[in-house]
Amino acid sequence: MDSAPLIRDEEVFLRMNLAERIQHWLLISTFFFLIVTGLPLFFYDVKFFKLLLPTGRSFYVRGIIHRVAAVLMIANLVWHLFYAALTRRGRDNFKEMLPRWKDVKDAIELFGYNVGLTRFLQRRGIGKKFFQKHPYWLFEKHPLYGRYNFVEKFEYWALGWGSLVMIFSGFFMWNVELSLRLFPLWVHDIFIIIHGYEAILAFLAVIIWHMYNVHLSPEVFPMSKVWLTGKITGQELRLLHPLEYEQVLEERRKTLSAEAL
Amino acid sequence: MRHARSGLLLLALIGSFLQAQKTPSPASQNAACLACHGSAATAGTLRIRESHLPASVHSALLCTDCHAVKAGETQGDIPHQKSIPSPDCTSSCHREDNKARPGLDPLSYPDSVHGRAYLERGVGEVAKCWDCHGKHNIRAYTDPESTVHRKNIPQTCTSCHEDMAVVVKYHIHSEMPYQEYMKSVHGKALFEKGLVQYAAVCTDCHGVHNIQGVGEPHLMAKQPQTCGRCHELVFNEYKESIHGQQALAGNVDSPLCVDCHGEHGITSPQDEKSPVFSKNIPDTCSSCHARPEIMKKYGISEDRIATFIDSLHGIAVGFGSKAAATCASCHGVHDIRPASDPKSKINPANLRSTCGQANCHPQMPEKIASSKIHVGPDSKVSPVLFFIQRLLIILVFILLFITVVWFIPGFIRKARLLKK
Repeated sequence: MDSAPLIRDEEVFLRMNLAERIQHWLLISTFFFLIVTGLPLFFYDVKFFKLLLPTGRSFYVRGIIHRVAAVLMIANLVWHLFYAALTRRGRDNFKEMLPRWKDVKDAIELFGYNVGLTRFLQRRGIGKKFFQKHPYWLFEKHPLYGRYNFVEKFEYWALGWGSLVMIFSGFFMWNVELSLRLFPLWVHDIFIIIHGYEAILAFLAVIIWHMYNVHLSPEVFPMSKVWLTGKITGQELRLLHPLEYEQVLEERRKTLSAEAL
Repeated sequence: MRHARSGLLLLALIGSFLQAQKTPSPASQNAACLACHGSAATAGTLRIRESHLPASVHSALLCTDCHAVKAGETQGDIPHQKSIPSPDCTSSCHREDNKARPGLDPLSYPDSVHGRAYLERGVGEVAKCWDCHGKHNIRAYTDPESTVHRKNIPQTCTSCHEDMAVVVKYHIHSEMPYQEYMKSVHGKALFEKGLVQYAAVCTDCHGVHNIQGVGEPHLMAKQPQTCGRCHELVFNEYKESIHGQQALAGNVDSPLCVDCHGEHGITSPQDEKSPVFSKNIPDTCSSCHARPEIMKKYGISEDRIATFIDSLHGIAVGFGSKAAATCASCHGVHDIRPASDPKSKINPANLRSTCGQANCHPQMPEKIASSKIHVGPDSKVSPVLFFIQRLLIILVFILLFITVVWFIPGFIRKARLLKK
């Protein structure tokens, strides 16, 4: 309807500012080193890890790297907490990250949309009346996401929760004597078990899910460059974050009409 | 002066003549034998090299002292009977009785694995006196040239014991004892460090004339006392330990020195190939302690090794860390005792100081004494740990399930849409 659209497809939006990108880079590198130096202990039988750590000395160095990376990751987390609490952008992003009821609905809708089972049933003429009454259950539309979709939110909170668990259990594994002063040995054994399995969960949740989203997902393949440049285009905003796009559009309309007045 | 000299010469001549009259000198007697056997024309084993005789401890003996030659049966060109019986060294000589080390006594040969084969079963290939000591070149065992001098014993035994034809034919248990020995601490001590009097050679462990075969009860080479002759303090510790007490009381389940340390190839515990190298200790202990049929007899749980391997100590040891505790770090080495023994390193009263070794956990609290160690996630022993582990495993599977259910269909759908 308008000859000059309010948001052009080539327009550049800032998705991650420099501070956020540095936090992300730090997280990637510390996470990588923690996983590489930690997984061998969980899968101590796997030949690959035996090759990765061929000698007792390399095993010792592994421990040092793991602890250094842990300290850096904790420092990064503390920075992020301050950033999220003290900066305006941080607070805004944090609010966007808060889980909502809509995220659950989005997850179900996406599942229905991806699988397409109900559309298949409808085509076969099964439950025709039901689908006429309740077209929602046909999941014909892809859910519309805001700034962060439910997968991203899940990853964020998985990371937050995982960090807490890992820092707590890891701290006591690092300070065995303190741990045994405070807790009985069987509690310490629980820390060890939790630290291992939480690592696997984090590995799956963060690495596999996140890698899928930013690398493998056909929209971004071979790689989304947001983590390097922090920028996305108007087109990407419209396609991947339609609700945020609407929001920006709405704001611009308001300012336009305010100017017109 | 001149007269005196010629007088002495005369006396000496007369003296030697008289002596020759009484007992003919061996050289002249043996000359008759050597006329044939010393001749370069005589082939192979029948030929005796002149040079062998004077250096031999037997240079004063007559050929006939050892070889029972009957003269007078001259047939053709041989001046003695056709087959001469093999010498018997102990018939009139070599009847020493060494009470301190009975095996040194040649009289113990008939009851050795070699002696029985030779004397009872008539196996001609088996080691006889002259196979080890030499034939005409026999020298004192103290002579470095002797085939039975300490430094030469390993090679002497090897001439048969690494001959695969012999090893296979007689079902000899150890196939390459010398190859293994050469690389062992004992072999290196002998060949590299030159500790001839201190490095154990074959005969120190296996016996000398009384060598016994594998399968013989109380085999000298396996007896802890044998190792204890040199490793005295270790033996004293061992005989007080649970393993030592049981083994010396005749319990065949209990490990002997060789069961943990190895036999011919015995190496230093610092050597990566040693069964008692820190990384290999759990494997070595597991050869008994992971076997239910042995452990059930003594009321010991057979999961001790498995729970250790799964623990952080075990994982670190598995990766070759020398800082982490192995079985021996907590249970002791030669002085292993059951936890109920107040002297045991793992007795609750001593657990704090055992865990609290300077380079382990010096700040270990006293209450470790009441902790159960070697506890894995087992539903009976530690239900809490077990259920937490189960829960976490279920979580992992839920996450995997979600991954499969959300992403794979999504991926297929997105890929299809992009194609269009």
